[in-house]
Amino acid sequence: MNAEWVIKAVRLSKPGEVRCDDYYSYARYPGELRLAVADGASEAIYSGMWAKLMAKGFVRSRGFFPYEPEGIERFRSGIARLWQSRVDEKVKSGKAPWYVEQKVEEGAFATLAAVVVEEERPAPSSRLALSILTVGDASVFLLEGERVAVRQPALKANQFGTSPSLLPTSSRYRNQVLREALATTHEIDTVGDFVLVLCTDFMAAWIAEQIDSTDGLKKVRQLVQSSRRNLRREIREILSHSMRRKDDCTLVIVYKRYSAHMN
Amino acid sequence: MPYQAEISRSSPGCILLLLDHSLSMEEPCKGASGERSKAEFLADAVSRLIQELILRCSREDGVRNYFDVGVVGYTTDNAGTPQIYAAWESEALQNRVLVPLREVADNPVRVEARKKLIEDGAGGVVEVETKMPVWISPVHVGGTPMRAALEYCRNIVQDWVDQHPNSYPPIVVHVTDGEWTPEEEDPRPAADSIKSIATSDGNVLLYNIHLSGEKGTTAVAYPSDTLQFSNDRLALAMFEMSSELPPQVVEEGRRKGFALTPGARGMLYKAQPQDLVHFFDIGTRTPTLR
Repeated sequence: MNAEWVIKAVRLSKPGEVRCDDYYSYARYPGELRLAVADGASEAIYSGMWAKLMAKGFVRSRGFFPYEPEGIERFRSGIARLWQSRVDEKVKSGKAPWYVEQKVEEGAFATLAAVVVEEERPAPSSRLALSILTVGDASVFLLEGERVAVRQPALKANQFGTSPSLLPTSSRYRNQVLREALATTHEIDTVGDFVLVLCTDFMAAWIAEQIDSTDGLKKVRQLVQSSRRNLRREIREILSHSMRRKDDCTLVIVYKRYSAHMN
Repeated sequence: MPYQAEISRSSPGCILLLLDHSLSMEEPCKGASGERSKAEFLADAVSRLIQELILRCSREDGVRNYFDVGVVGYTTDNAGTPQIYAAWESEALQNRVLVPLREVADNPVRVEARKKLIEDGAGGVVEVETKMPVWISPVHVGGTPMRAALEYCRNIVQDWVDQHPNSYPPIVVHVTDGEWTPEEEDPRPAADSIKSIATSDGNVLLYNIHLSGEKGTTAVAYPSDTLQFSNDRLALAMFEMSSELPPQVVEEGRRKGFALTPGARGMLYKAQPQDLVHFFDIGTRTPTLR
């Protein structure tokens, strides 16, 4: 049997808006798959840029995972310097209105869900090591068959979107966030049927609602099995029919596909 | 449930500030930044409120018109005739009462450099220079034609509601330091008339703040009954003139550490300058902006 990663991703702005402050990124390296989604707080300024830099920055940091707050802070401050230099280019011309300068002083904010999947040595192994970092309500779900093996953060549907912790660009606000960041490790048995889902709060709330309903994972399973083309349409449907506050919406689905391999 | 309407550019909110510009506002009172006149503290607090509102509504694409904002001052002339006017100082906004927020943002009369203390993220504070836009100046002259001022606001608010029948209801914040001009009629019917105006999302919210020049007084804040001031005629009148805070605002206030009970009125009595800033923060909270 030969296995290949299947990664499907959708990023949608909220209905009626062109801008989207959510971002996702992923990259495959030998023995390592890195993924991240980030949701910029649109009340702040240049938060979309912050979310993008964080998602990309994490994915490009091959071999790195911040298990401790100090590691998260190193990662945050490095990306924050990059954000600041890009914003300075835009704002420091002296022509920016007073409110743009003040918003930039306050900085940008974003939630983050980041994952590293590593093949255990010696390869080939049936086990994968999974490291997950979440800040705020950007979420990671690991589904194994009909079981939800990982749900991080463990929130009910009605807890999403209400003042989540946010990674700030400014070090003034870092302390509480670093206390609330959640870094965990898990193992995946690839012999079983598993799906990894990373998403921002709107889809995370929807998945949490499904998991806690009597239907369980049925609709979530249907969604993750959708073709790339249909996935976008189906998420748009969920977005338009939901009673929740409309929001930007990002979802990344990851699993392994097995095929018979003839030498 | 009332007071749930989402505020958006197509369905904006409305905040109208009604400011007592009478002579007694010249009295000094002591705040964190030293002793200044009540009028100076009020002008500063209003500019700060507008600044916060603009920052709340700023995005990368600029300031969004989530609110129409107005500042109305009231006093009397030498003959005792009520003078009620839009208090914007910048030429671009003069003689207009309610102005879309983006225009307000683009037209402060000046931007001053001020110092402020901010947390440094390591348990300390540092002083930094910040820009403080200013839209109005302190005024203290003449009498207190409160009833006429409230009637003027009623007309402004009624016109706005006619144009925005399904929006979050207007919030009117009235700040004064004393009683209405003795020769004038009781302002309570005019206040009731404002509160009776409604959009499909609820009645107009009228809040009243009484500023005190007395040192060391503790404000009566957000009362839900009159037990604390049952013998104080002015306090009773202000209580009757003030709307109950919507439940969501009560909840938000509690989250910020204020002891608010259900039925709390949007009222401060014998308030100090710092109370004013907190009140503006709580009282102008609205549902989600989108």
